[in-house]
Amino acid sequence: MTFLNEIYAIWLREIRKSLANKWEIFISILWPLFLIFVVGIGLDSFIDSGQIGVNYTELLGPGVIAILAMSSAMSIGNSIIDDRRGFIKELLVAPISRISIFLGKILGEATFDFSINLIVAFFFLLFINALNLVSMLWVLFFMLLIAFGFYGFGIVLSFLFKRARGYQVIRELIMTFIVFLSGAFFPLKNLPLIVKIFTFINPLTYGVDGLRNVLIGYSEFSLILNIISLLVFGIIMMILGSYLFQKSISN
Amino acid sequence: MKNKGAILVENLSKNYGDFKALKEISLKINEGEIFGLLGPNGAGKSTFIHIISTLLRPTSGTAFVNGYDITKDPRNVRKSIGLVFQDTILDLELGALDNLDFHARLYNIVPVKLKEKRINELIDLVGLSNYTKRKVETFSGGMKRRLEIARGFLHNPKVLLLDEPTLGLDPQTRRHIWEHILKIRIKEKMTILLTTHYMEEADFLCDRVAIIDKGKIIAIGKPRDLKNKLKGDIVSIQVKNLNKNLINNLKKIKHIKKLEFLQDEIKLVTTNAESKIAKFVDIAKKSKVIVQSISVHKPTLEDVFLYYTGREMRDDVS
Repeated sequence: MTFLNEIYAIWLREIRKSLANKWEIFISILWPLFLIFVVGIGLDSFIDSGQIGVNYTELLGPGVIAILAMSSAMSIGNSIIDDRRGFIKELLVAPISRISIFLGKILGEATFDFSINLIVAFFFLLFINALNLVSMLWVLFFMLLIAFGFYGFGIVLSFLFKRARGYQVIRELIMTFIVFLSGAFFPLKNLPLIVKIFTFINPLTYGVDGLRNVLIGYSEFSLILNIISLLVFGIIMMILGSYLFQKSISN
Repeated sequence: MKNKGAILVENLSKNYGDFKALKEISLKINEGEIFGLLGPNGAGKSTFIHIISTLLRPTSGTAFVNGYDITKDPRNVRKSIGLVFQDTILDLELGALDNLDFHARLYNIVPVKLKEKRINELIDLVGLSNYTKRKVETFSGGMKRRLEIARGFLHNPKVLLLDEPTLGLDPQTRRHIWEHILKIRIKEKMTILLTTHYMEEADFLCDRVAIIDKGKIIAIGKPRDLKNKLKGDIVSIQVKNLNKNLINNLKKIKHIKKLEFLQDEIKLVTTNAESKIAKFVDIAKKSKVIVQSISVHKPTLEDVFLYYTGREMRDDVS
């Protein structure tokens, strides 16, 4: 019972901190919608995407949702670095277990990020006239899968690059590679082999493909392969991430 | 079982590599005491607080807080303490109430009624009742400090640790904070351990102080007793051209307890200083030294520090 209370306390703090900045919330919803609709509709006006059976806006939507799940998950590293500069002491000196600090933080960030992503997905599905409960649940499911791995990945990165400034630059660079080599902006099947190899080892590729499969019915891999790839990536990153987190706060 | 008081420290040492931050510290702080750890920057005060609050492990020795061993039972130690850190540790984007509410939840203050009552009580005691909703980032340094002090008291800890509670605040705000600390303390009756490098702070707040320098306790006792140990008044003589003659002549006078020469200043401790001023001037004249000024004052803890270490304690290095 107290364990749950501890997690709840940490969770609530994350939520309150997120809600404190109203403009940030507004922009984080508006920006991806802008990307999907303005870029999507713009490119649709002169690209003939008939060869794959869906238009560009439809192709882009799931890609953007996957990118959102990935990037918001990765940002947990920021919050950990912020706390490590000071606030972590207030947490460490309190009579609560270390694991509830870890879980509370992840759950708090996830609740907020998932709400934003679901709102974006809601408007996208509404626009392509495919809004239904099953689709929303699929979005939630893939968001969980993607976030699971990239939360871990964000934590691992934040511990590898201790100083925040260096971390930002490296994170941006890595995220750029992950985003553009995930097929979020274009189908993979006509890519040159060397680029294809990079997309295959990129975990986000399977998130993008999985979301397309369940939302617009277009895909290049099987759904099972998508789910298993994301799961394996997630388990490895979580084990590594929680190990590093525990190690850093226990000395 | 022997009485361990609020804090009992036994042969506590902490090394960082070759550097010995704390050397075999032993002391006992009684329940209900305000105890001050006084020393210059780098003396080991923060290291001491971090060890007592289980954030750092000692290299050897141990300490008991509220009867719990800091190395064997850290969770119960953490339950027994409140801590106000040297640097500001608040959620700046949240309001004062949210900051305290989070703390109350961490320390499981239930039921909600009691929690709210405690929060309102303390926010009132530190004079922030009109600023409960405003984001903490808009607070002045003194307001932030007061909020942190309220937070330290919030869960009614047996022992409150204050690490440099007024560092970086202007003298007026500092005094204000002291008054708040004393006011809450009268209501709450708890043991307080504070570190400071401000002599006046230790003098104003503490029942007992330990003077710490280079990781060692060099004197311990009530501020008044420590000052009385100097047995007399402090005389400082500003001179223009200090020379050997004067030094030798001064050394011959009886009843001078401690003689210190600092560049153009001579400091000495003696009884009935006022009646000896004429004599000092006389001696200076004979030694062909020009006296610029002479002042006599009652000893402060600053003088006590000087007396034990032969160095002045400065608060400008940080």
